[in-house]
Amino acid sequence: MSDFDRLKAAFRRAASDGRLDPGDEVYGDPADGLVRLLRRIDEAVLGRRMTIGFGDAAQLDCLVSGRRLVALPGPAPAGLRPAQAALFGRDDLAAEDARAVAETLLALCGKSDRLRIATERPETEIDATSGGLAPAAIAAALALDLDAGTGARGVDLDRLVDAAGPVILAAVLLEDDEIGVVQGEGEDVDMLLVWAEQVADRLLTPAFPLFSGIETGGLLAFSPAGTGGRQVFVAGRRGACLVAMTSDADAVAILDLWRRLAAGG
Amino acid sequence: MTPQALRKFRAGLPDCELAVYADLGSRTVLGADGALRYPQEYLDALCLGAAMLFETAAAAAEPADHVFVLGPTGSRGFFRNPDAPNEALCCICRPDADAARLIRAAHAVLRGEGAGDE
Repeated sequence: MSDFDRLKAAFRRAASDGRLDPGDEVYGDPADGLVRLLRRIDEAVLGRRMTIGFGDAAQLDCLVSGRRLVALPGPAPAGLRPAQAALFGRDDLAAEDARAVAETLLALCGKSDRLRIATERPETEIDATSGGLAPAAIAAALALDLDAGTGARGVDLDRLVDAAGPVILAAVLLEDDEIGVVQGEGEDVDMLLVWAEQVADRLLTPAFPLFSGIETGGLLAFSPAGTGGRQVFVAGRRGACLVAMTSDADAVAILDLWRRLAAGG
Repeated sequence: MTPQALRKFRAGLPDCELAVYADLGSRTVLGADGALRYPQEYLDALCLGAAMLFETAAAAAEPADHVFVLGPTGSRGFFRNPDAPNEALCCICRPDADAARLIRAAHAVLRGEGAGDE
């Protein structure tokens, strides 16, 4: 999954329905379930405890950060082989664990036909700098393709981000009082981080107007003065939103793009 | 901005269904022109939304010239008056409104161009 695919997915999820709990996700077979789970980890920018429920059959806790599966805190779900159960409770996972982790997650996906993912801030900060497993590495261990079947939903916002992709200079995720970089580097990210930090309190407040429109697939576009034509646009749901910055696609370009998409173009 | 200027502004923009000129500080509607007659509560809510959007933008080092809210059922454009930063023009438009034309027209009317042509 490329950075841009992650960005699209994050936008899509942020604006999909505005519900904090998206509910059960039904998958076709265990491999499909595993791919869906790995994609969610692949979009996890901030350090979070991710709890995955497999119907009534099993529950799994993961520590994720920086788009990596950092650790599997114990206890291990019932019914795993000893080698699989040994993965739980360790401080972090490493590259050599990829296959064992993949087989463990696949086995858990095989216990049900649905999963439900909830995330929460962990009690202690997760340090992802020294270890963890990239979802792509876990998928590769079982020859699974993380990109298969992505982008099937053609919502306007998705198409807008798709079309605006070449001019997206930076994107950050706001959640609670944390900010994480989704895409970009250098001066553009620095500028966007400053902007997002300065407005975060207001954007995330429950009193902020217009979020009902944004939560159902809309977009909020700011044209800050004195930023060299840069445009900042915001999509999301109450309590979490994605903020992106573009350059050449100034206000008019972005808004005209929306106009064409709204008209079915 | 005079009622005539507001009416002329909207008459030149077939995509614009409602134009409201508001005082962001007092959150007061100073004038409105719409294809339909809107209840005062609706205009007040629009004014409040504009005020909060610009307050949000003002929290950054660089305040916003304008803010757009795009949605499946319509688009809303908010333009701050550069000569009176506490005042703004708020527009409710169709989702397929011509953004470039709207921005040009809004900036022109806020500069006072054509205000006394009627």
